[in-house]
Amino acid sequence: MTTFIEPTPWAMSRVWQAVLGVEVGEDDDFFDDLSGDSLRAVEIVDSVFELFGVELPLQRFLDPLTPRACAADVERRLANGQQP
Amino acid sequence: MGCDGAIDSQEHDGTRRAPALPRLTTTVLVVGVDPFDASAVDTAALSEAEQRRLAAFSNAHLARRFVGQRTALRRILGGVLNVAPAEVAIRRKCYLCGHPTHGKPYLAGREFEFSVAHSADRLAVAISSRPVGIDIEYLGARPSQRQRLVRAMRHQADPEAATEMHALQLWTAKEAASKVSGSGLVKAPPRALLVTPETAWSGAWRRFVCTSDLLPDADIGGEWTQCSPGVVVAVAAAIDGERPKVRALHVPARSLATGAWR
Repeated sequence: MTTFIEPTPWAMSRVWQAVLGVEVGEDDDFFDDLSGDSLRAVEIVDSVFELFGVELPLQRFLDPLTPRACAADVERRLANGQQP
Repeated sequence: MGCDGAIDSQEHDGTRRAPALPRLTTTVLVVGVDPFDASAVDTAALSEAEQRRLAAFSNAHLARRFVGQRTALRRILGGVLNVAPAEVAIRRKCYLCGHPTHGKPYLAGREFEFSVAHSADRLAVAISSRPVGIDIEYLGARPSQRQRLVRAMRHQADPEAATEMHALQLWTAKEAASKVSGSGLVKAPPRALLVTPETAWSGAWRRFVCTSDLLPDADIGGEWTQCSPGVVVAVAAAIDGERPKVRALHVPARSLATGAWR
């Protein structure tokens, strides 16, 4: 059985860090602070689905996005019924 | 619709030498930027806005990479315009909202069109007489990461991509195509773009066409190549009569300071 972890800002920053290979703060912006690109966004979307059971739209990463905002988005989607 | 450059004409001082760019030629430069090579970084070349962005970085490596990439871009554009890197007036305009703080970059005065992309420590720049888009992507070295990326690209864009390199080529081509107008993948999700490789090659470049109802240009033509192992670069432009010929250069970042690449 798959277990999902809680989407806290800290957990989300660890997910981003694993993909981007640099230290990630909870309020770092994906493009401006972390120099993210579209493929890294795709990889994070995949990791988020695997860990939290929520599929974020890729387009979410094309606006300013931080781990904190990303975690809140996952939390909201879970509350709205997008269950793992 | 899109970045029509209406705000920039008054900012052009009119004193620059007109660049002698061949018509219907797209020049692609791929630059390896070593953030720790002192000759490749020049903080003084950055604009005020770039200086502010630099000050906001908390990660020292990313900050140096940012300076290296902006230095390289400004040296390239300054070399073509025949002005100092710091004097290159780069503007932005959002395709969707028209705001000048984000969106596709362009030159004040629009002496020529350019597009820029980066991936890790590589920078790719395309310079053309017509609107152009460029993208550069790499898969990464770790097998687990490569597998994850390929699975994700297939899910988001091309389920039928046969190999990991094919998936990367299609993705890079789509992103380059979406950058011609400046819409980016915001307006044109990768699944909505259809990239068809052509049988013709142009040297080491594989030609493709990209079609989508979501892009303002009916048809976009481009070319992709593998510029180093695991790294794909793609360049695209609207098909309007003859296609621009791609001239590609691999340039060490330190040679940009002298303009020797031209």
